[in-house]
Amino acid sequence: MARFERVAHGIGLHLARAEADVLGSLAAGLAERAAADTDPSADDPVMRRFAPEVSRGDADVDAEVRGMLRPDLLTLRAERLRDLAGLVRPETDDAEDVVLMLDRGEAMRVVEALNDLRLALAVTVGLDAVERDEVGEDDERSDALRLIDALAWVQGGLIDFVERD
Amino acid sequence: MASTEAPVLDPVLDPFADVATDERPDESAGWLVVVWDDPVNLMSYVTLVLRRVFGFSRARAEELMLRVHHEGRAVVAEEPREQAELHVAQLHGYGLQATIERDA
Repeated sequence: MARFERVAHGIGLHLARAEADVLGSLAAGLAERAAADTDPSADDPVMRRFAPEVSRGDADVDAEVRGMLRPDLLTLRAERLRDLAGLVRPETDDAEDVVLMLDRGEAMRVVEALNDLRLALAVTVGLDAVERDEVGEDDERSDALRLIDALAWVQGGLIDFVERD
Repeated sequence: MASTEAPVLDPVLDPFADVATDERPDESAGWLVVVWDDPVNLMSYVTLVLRRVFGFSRARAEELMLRVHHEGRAVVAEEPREQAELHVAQLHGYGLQATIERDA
């Protein structure tokens, strides 16, 4: 189970090996997906969430600005998700856990990458339309929803650290 | 979500059809930056992002975040189009749903 540790000038995030492996795999996979997506017409819904509409009332403005921003927004995701995948990589094959020692800036970058993962998972399960109470244990979406919540817990803890005066 | 399908403009009816976008006369007029509610971004995260992008106090950022949460959207800035586009790009970089619109 993930936990936090206060250290001088930073925070320690302790992840069980299985948690680190899942996080690293998800981050690496999504990073490659973002890096490979150079064709907006492919219309990947996750990439559409990463580069969302710029105007809801002016289609010309939306098309013009969105097309301009999209490559940089996807590159940004690919880079910080790759960084996260590298951060949670175990030092040895038999390591039982992974400890990330983060200063405020590093923690913020992890917060952003975790948000990317949560957004991608939410798009995948259609969270906009999901009534959480209606998703039972045997629902195939339940694992993704639990993961979204688990990542939110880690993200929230890091936000508390980043925001601390 | 509003349609993003581009309307077909008759060039004869479009007075700015031959004018470069950055030379159009309303580009320096007021544009609104709007942040929209979504079911994923944490309230604490939205507050943090608004503070980082706009330099708001914690109280102001929380007030705007709560407006987004309760009313579905909040205008977080009114500024020239170029600046508004920059801010929307930053907000999108953080994963917030944000748009620009002309100040009516």
